[in-house]
Amino acid sequence: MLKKKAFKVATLLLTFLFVVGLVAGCGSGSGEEGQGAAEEGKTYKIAFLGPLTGPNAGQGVGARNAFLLAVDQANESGELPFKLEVMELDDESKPATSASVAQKAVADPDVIAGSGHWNTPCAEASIPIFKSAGIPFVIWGAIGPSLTSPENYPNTTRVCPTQAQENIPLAEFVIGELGRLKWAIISDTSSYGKSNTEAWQNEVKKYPGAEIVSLDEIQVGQTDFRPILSKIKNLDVDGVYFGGVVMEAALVRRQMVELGMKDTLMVGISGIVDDKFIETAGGDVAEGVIAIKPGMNIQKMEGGKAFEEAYAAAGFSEPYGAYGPYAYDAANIIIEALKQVGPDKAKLVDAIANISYEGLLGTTTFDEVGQTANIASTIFVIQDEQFVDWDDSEYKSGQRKLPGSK
Amino acid sequence: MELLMSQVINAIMLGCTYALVAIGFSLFFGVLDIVVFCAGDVAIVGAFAVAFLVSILGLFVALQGALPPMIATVIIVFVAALFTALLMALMYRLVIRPLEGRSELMPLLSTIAAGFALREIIGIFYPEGRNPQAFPQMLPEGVLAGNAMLSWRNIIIIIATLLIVGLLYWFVNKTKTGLSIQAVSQNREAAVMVGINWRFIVYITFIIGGVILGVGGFLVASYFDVIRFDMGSMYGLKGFCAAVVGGLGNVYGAIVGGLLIAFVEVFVSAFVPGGTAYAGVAAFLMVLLFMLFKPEGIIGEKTIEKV
Repeated sequence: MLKKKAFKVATLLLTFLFVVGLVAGCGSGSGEEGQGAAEEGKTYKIAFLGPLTGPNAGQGVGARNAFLLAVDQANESGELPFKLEVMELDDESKPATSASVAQKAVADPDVIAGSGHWNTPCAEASIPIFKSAGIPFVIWGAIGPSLTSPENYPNTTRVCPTQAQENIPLAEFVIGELGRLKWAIISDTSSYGKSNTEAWQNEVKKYPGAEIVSLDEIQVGQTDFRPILSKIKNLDVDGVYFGGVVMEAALVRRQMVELGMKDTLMVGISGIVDDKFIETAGGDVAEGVIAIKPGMNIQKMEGGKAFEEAYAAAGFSEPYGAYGPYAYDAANIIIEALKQVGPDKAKLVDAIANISYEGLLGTTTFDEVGQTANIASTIFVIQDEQFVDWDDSEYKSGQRKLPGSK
Repeated sequence: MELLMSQVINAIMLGCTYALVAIGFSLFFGVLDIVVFCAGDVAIVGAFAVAFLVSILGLFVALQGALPPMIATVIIVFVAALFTALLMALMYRLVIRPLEGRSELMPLLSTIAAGFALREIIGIFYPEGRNPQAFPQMLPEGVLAGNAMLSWRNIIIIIATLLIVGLLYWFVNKTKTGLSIQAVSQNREAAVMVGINWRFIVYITFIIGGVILGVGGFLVASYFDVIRFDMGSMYGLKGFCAAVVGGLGNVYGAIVGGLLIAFVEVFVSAFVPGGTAYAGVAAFLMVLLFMLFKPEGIIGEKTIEKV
């Protein structure tokens, strides 16, 4: 009897404490003006999510470095009345890990914004978590078209083009400009691969005379593509379109060369624009592969030089990779919004969605679903074990010939 | 016709890679009646051991100065195979022997766990272990008769597979130790009664299995040129299926099973429109059918339930 009573009292007490805590929490969160809420010397956190280990670590680590650089620069400039800290979270390219680290981020009351992901499935897992916590989320590298949608707006925005947007200029170049008409598609069965397949099929349809003669969907982690490639070899195509990521891309290219298809053009999207592709495929094997990367070549952009110098000066051992500049702009957009409205999550959401930001990659504004209007991209070709801007390459100047040139 | 021919070669090559790990499964199952599920991972550890010796320690380049490349390759693979042999013996001592005499589900689970551990150990401790690694190519380049599929590398892989099976056959049937392995696998009590040290025989089996898996890992990695820490799980699963289809416990069945699975995968992928996505499904479906209608496998003996 006594025990029961004690239990009741304890429960009541706990409930009371909980309610008090909740009220107090609300008070400090919404009671004051945005900027005023920032305590002097307090540190707020921005969560960075991305593949820091795992098969796509090269992409994630470069982006993380660029993100850190932006935040460090903001802290040094002293323009914010508080300090910012980056909470680095590794999604391992796995949706399950992504969800659990996102939970960790939103559980921390100091986290006021998030930015993340290179893999679309990872973003699919974490966006609902940030959305329900009311924390603004800026995607820096995941390019599945469905991530920016009316449901996720205005909470979720994206600074990089979607893969559908990426396929448009790629098709313009290889079909329109180079005149390659007969295509084989190899894509993986992930949502990334599937939406690439669809986007490429749509693009090919737009060009009279262009056709897709074979479509193969492979599993991520598959290692033997020789049966598919033997079949494609027999079809005598003008190009192989690869809609997947680095590991499988490298294997496909290696096995193409092994089967005597070195003279068949391979074309990929930004998922393969990574030095790891050249390293695992082998420099000679990768020669002449074409890929597209969203964004202008930053060396040609105003501020690009400053960024490269700052990046080098910061002493990062890894290259900033394909998405470093996006992560850099994503961080700066969050910082810019923080300058406007202070560390108030709800206001930040609107401030980011309505921003017009002059950054490394040009002017970023978001459309009605939070997708950037800035979709300029650059075509790359692998020349002497490096991704070289097509405009600067010996292929354009005619010194070298692309595989399958007549 | 040329397409069919190259697909047949594709299937034979893939079949060899499956067979090598299936032999491991069958060897262990034969002698202990348990499924050692980490066989695929041990093979990939072997591949990483070779990559470590060559890419990081630079052993191949160092040896090449003094020896012809073929012998340098053999030495390096031998060292890696010794490592996997040791690893396999350790596996037996640490995760299988303590569970002896319990349900045979126990070692199945403990070896699945051990496989996980191996994968993660590579991922964590090998430099950039979670990224795909280019595997150093040590087998000679060049092709035979102008056919891209008949590369020296492919031919060596096939010959090595046959050689391993041949050596195993000779060892098991012609040496005293080999005969003891057979005796233990047929009837442990009787073997002990005629004075065979069965514990010793089990260790020998695991060491031989480890060597085969190590060499197998090297051959597989040479075939694909790229390795990744988690390749062992799929590879192990396919190898296990090959062993089941061929008849678990029968080493020759492992080869037949490996080839059969590889043929199904390659031909579904190559000749069924849109079939690539379903190649794996078709292979596993076939395994399922075998389990339902011919559980003893193609070459395996019918087991009689003891009453």
